Amino acid sequence: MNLDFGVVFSSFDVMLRAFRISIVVALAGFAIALVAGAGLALCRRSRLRPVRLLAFAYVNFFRGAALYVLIIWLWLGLAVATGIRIGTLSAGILTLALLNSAYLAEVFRAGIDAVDGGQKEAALAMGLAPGQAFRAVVAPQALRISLPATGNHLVDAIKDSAILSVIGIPELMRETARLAQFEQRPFEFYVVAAGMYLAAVYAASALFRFLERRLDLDRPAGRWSRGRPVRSTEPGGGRVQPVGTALGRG
Amino acid sequence: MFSYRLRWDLVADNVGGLVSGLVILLQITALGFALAMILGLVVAVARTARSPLLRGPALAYTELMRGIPLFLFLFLVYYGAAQVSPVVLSPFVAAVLALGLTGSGYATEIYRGALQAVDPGQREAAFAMGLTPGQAFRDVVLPQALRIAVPPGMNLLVALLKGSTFVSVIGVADVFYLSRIVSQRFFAPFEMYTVSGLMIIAVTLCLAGFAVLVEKRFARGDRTSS
Repeated sequence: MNLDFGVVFSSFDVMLRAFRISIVVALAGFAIALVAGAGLALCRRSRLRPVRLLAFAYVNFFRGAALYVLIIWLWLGLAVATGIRIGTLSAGILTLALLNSAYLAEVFRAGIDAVDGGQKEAALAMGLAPGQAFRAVVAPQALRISLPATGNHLVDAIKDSAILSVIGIPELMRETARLAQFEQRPFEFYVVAAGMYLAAVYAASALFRFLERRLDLDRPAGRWSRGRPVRSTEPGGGRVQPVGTALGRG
Repeated sequence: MFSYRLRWDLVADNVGGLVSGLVILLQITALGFALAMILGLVVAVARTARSPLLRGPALAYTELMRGIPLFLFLFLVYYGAAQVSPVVLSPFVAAVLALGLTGSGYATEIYRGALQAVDPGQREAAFAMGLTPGQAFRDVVLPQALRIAVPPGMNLLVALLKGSTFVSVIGVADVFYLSRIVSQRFFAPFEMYTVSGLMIIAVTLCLAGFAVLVEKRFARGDRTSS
């Protein structure tokens, strides 16, 4: 067993460029999913039954679908059959957005449900319109409750982006596999790529832990002096976990 | 809408292959899950140990296993192991190992949460009754922790099934592998991938339904026993 990491470092700039594409794809998909997920969460609470049912069907279908299956079907199946040509990058971002919007819709819905009903009643009693009560009173609290779970899904989206290599996006996984094969050094290349993913995952969870502290208005920023943080029933106690909660979610 | 003639007959010709491909995926999922649950229990015991010499490495192990994408880990196990050791793994074994090792990181966290959720009074009572620490763990704490671990364990099983869908990338002859072969030879990607995708979604839904049943069963047991 003779390992040679020098080969990896001579193509490090290629890997860094690919890493940037991974991050851009993951963040773009996740950003769309944040907006779409919020919209879906609202649809699931709509007064119109068909809207509720459609949102329910969407959320449960995409939470059940595996990312690999979805991307392969969209890219190799549907696109070929219908003759629609979209770029690999857009296809990857779209697929990540489809999946994550379903997960985030559930997160936001649970967040809205977790806000004490008395808050809304108090807002209405103070003369706020229902829309105002939701926007100004319920939504900000729901957002804060949803933060840890949202962070976990961002972490998972970063890890899931590796699967997008199968359609040929020149992201980190794809480029690593290409270099590993070319240089005949799979172990070294995959270990370095794994380190890059770990760094991204830790950065994302650190960001969300920071946001969580900043938005925790009950306590002075950066300190846990008064009381204990609210813990949800989720594994990990509702805090952002360094590396997410799901695996092969996709 | 369709720019080419659909060949559903190709799917009909390959039903046998598709089913056996699906069985391979289920085998990999089941074996990977078993490995994850066994390994996870061992690491969880180390993770909750008093000695930092046990806790540290156990923590590093779980962080590593949960932070690396399974997709990349699959390649690392399959190609990496062949490079750094004389052992050449078959794609099947590499897939089981990758799923099992990654899964064990998540299983550790499940067990840890479950072990910590057992009322400490249970352990103290066991000691008071004269049980040794080993006996107290085995006969009192562990059975209760396992019950708590069942619902998140079922979620892990579903997650592992989804993770098993891409093992064909290292050459496991599953449904997607067959779909690729048939598509390349006869050009029927839409038909083949639609059917294989639906098969996977059907299995996932069945498993998720089964998970709900198991959870209910355990919830009922909890009520009668307490």
